[in-house]
Amino acid sequence: MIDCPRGDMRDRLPDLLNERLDAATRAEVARHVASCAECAAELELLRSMRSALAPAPRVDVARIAAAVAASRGTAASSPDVRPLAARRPAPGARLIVWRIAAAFAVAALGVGTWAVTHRQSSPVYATAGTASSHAPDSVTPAPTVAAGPPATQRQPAAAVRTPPTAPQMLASTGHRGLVMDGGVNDLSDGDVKMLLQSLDSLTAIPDADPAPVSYPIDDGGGQ
Amino acid sequence: MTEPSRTAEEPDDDALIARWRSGDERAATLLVERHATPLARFVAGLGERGDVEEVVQDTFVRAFGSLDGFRGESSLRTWLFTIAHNLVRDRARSRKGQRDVVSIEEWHAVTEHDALDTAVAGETAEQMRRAVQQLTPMQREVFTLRVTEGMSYKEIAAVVASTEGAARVHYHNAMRAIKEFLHD
Repeated sequence: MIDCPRGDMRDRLPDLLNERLDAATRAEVARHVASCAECAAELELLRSMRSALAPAPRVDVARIAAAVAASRGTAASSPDVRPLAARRPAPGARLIVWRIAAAFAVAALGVGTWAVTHRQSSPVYATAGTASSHAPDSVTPAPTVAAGPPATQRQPAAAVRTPPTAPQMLASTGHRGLVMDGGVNDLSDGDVKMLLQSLDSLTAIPDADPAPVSYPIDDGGGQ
Repeated sequence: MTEPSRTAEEPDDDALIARWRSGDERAATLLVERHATPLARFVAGLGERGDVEEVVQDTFVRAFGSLDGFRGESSLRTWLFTIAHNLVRDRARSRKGQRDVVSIEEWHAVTEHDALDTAVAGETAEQMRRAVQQLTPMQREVFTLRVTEGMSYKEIAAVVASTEGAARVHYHNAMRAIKEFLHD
């Protein structure tokens, strides 16, 4: 069999066979084939070859499609699972979270205990502060309470530091001098003497001042 | 060169891929229906001795599994054939030392369901198949893709990981060898 010398035309015969040429090119190739016995014979051979090779094993399209869908289901479920697994904190991270939570719980318990204890101590403080006051406004000096020291230190301090609160009480009552709720005048002479002796036995400055704290300063030079 | 003709009602591959990505399972079925038979023919033509349907199914599963990475630089059809080509090659390598090419009898076995329906059944068709079988694997693959699947040299080069020029040479060498075989 002799081959056509027009290689460009022979190259396009399979495209002509499979209808993959645009209209203009198809017309050009078709005109050539009509006038070229070699290309006409080759085109017929290609057509026979394609027919002979066309039979294909039958495949179950539904089964393949189901396999594709199943694989997608696996892939689709993965993002729902894997990221969750990925987001799940590591054991060490979980321990840190628990430690933080425990620290908050202890802190909350401490604050609560302090608040309850302080409330219990407030009447003591208020008793001293409101010794001569009947006005509700002066009964609960909230800022003083909130900033005050623990009750164990407050009671003697309150007794000693009665004078600072006295001006408020005096201003509200219009009296001068030490005035207590119920009135010192109600006390017997013996009670007054005992009270004065007790006051004299207290030190004016509580010895509960914080000890000085010194921190070493590292100047970085090791000197 | 133009794409294979398709009716106006049929969505093209790109549209079906978009529908698949948006969760339309039916789009996958349509794509499988469109490409499964040519892939099966191609796989059988490569001399795959095992389960052709298994290879075709693996091709689709792999293709859809990595469809997010498909940028459309080549057509879906070319991409599917490339995957099938690689699968057949890997299977052939895994059974290295064994015969890679099916005999004519085996070809009949894998195509017997459609043999009676073909217009060129019989002696002529068998001669054609023998002519193709005596080609080198590369010639056979290029010739099949060019004639049976109507691929361009550029598409063939993508499938077989070669160049357009090499694909053209393989095709013309195959054509010459077939003519010589049939006229001897």
